[in-house]
Amino acid sequence: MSHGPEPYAVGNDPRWNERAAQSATVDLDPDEDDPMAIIVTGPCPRCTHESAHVEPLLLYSNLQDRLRSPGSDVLRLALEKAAGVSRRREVEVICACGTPHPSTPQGARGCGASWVLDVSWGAP
Amino acid sequence: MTVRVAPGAAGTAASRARAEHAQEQQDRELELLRQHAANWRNGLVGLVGLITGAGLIKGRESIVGIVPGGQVAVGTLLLAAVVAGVAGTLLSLRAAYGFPRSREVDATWRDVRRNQHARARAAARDLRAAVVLAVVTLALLVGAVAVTWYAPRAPLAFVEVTDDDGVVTCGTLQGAGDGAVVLAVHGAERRISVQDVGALRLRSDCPP
Repeated sequence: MSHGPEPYAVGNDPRWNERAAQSATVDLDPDEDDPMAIIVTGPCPRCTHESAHVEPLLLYSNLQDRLRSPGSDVLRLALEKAAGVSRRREVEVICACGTPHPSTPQGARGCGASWVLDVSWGAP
Repeated sequence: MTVRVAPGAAGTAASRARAEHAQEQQDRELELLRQHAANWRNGLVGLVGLITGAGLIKGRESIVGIVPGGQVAVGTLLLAAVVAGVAGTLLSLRAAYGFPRSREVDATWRDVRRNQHARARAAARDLRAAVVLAVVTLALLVGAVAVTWYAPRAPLAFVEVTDDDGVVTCGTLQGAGDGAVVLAVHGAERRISVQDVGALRLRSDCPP
């Protein structure tokens, strides 16, 4: 007897972190020199449907926030590269698969699961 | 690209709330910027209206009597203020509403994400420029008012005579005597009998 998709439920599980670390594809947008976002794609470790998540590293919200624009930190980036600096970010990915799940609240997507990946780039 | 992925720390309610908040901020990035830009647009439109209404319409009366260099300075400052104000208004309009143009449909989801962020970056850049131009406009307007108030006045070197028939003669005073006032008007001498003089006043220049 086949069963349909899992009902929507907000939650996390350390085992999902490990499973997703093996199966996820992680990219930096536009590149690792001056990334603006971390893009995580791959199957949700809970419902197994394909999901995509964008973790913003830089947002333009209002003029009072310090804004970083590409190229404005050329000197800083050059110094970091010369020094072999690596950068790191913990990303909590929320399932955003397009498959309908029972009991999904209005406006929500996915199955409700979230998992955490430790993403690093630059010199090891 | 040397991206390394490892399992992260166990998620918590707080980390989940932060992640949801970041997603909401990202989704509303362009919308929030455009709201800011619309508010700045309203302010700039009011500022440009202030300049054209007060500065340009009343300006000609205010600068009569100022030395010619001062008049040129006031005119230049007001013109620059209008240009800066209009430019700032247009930039704030573009930040608030974008500019219609054709563009290729995004081929990949990565392109969707990148172009969405690029539009937000362009709106932020336009909004920053509009804010700078608003300050510049105000500074130029203050400068024009300051020159109007404090620029030296031209000496009253011309005499305007109105005779009993209402005929106005304006020129430089050459002399007075023998019952007449002698003026030089465009290089030619004009004698006006004192008995015909209805009104006489000093002026800083003669009308063309």
